[in-house]
Amino acid sequence: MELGLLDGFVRAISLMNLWYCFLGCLLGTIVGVLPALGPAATIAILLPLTAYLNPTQSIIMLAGIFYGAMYGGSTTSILMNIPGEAASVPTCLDGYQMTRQGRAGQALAIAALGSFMAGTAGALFLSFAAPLLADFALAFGPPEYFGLMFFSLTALFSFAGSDLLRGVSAGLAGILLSMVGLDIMSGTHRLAFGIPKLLSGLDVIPVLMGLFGVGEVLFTAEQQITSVYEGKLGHLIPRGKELVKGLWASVRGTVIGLATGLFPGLMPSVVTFIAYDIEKRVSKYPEKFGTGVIEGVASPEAANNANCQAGFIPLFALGIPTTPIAAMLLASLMVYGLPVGPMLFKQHGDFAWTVVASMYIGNVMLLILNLPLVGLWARLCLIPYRILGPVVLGVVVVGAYSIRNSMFDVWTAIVFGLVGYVMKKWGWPIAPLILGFILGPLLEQHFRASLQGSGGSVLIFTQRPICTIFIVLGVVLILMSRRLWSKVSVQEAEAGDSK
Amino acid sequence: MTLEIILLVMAAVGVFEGLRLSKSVLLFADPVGPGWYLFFMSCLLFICALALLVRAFKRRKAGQQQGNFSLLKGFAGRVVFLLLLYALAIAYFGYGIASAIFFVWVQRFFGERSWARCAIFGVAITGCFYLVFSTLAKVPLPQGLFIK
Repeated sequence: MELGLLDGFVRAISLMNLWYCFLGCLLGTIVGVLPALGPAATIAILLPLTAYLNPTQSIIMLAGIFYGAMYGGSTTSILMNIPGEAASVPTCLDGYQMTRQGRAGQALAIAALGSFMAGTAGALFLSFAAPLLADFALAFGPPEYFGLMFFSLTALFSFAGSDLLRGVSAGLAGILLSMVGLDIMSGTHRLAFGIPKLLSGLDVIPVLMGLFGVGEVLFTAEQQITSVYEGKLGHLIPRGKELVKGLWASVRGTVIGLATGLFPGLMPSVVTFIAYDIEKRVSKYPEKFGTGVIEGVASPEAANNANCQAGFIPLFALGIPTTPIAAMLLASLMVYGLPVGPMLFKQHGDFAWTVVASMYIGNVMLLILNLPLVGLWARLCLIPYRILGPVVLGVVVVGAYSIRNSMFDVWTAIVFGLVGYVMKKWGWPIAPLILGFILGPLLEQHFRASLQGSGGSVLIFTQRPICTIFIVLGVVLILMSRRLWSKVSVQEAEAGDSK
Repeated sequence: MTLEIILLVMAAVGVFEGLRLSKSVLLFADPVGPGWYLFFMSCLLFICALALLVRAFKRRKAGQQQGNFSLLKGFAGRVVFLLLLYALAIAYFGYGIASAIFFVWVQRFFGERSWARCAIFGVAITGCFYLVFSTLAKVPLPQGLFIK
């Protein structure tokens, strides 16, 4: 591991890799700040552009956008009470109160410090845990992979929102859509209805661009943001007891984020609420939460960064995305033909370690970007949506076209844009649809390969202990999810639904 | 209830396609084939969609309707319609002309009141996109049937 990571650092500090890491962090901070544009939409619309880069630079940049957005999301939450991301909603509760008390600088500083701590701890955890997990997963055969995929999908469907039935239906619809085109095992055409353009199936990138890019633009264009913070930030670094309290809360948030980041479905938007709730429970003065308590900012901010970084562990080691954004990164890996799963570290160790090393560097870049330039980021909200919206739509159209130089992909993006908008409008979760679409083919492939190995006997899934455990866990999760959702607050449920 | 009905139709199509494909000759090595898996998943979706539809009916009866909105009259519907026209225009008139008109028009939908600003930004955005995608990224942007 040590040599791999050192080699990774040597490659990551090359001029081009540093540039793309910086670009990713910068874009991530910008989209984190802008309430109208999320990291999912940004990554979706940038996917075709990154196809012109080499895989390492592309993934370094996309990963930078992901964790950069987690940093940037706190700025507008604290200064304007406008969460840049769903994950930043709890930060508003105490962050904005601190601003009103003239302690905006302290809130921004502890958010940045906590995010840096959590991000670095997440990168460290990734460096140690991912290779170990990958080594363990090398012994997996098709039944174990089927069990793992089943568990991941059920977890993602269950945690996608408060309405399990809608989550499962959206996920199944995604699986069905992924079957359009050529069956990889027999070469038979499915659901193509003799339409030549459908024979090669629906490309994942126009679908993503439509659902997240067009859908988000249409949805957020209806809300206008006009205010920007003009007051003073106050002194930036918290002092004495405040600093100690903030740092300890960051540590607790980091642990919560790391632990939850490994599990599919526990997205930053949900985990920040969990961290806030736990912080309130362990506090000696829970009644003061919501009035400008530094722990109320530090813990959720650390949790969302740690959760985001920990999500790379199952992604790189097992090929399992835990969030829609991780699913987009998985799709990007697939576009480059890189093996998803444990073979990534074995066969493309140089790629994997360079990306991991870039995360340490990216966290330092983000700390520098977020503290001194905070005033600039806050003013980004002044960009009028009448310019931003059309630009995003334009990028979606030309980006979708550029993948295969086909107008069919543009039509696909527009249709899925409408689908994404309607789903958001009616409170349907989009995440299961896209995760079903991306993981569907893998689920089918492992299911059919397992039955091939067993001569058609479904008992194979009960004869392999790891597979059985995953399937049982998946079923239990589905059955328990209703109970779990009934315990979370309305605000948490809304944050989950919005993803 | 629109989404529930769409899902139900999708599932029904999947069931029929799955049944059709399950009649094809299976390879010895692949006992499931391309049909049965599709059939199984479609059946699951059919059950879920049916349950959703029944629930939607019950809620409608109880007067708990989900937020209604008109795609035809609303902002989103207008933008999607413009996007569809834009895609059609790209195919016939080429990327440059279609984009310039689209960007001018769509800014009006997004709330820009001045035609002059719409025109300036519209042409500027088209130029920037052309530079980035055609010149730098070497994407062969459509020239259009009429132009060719």
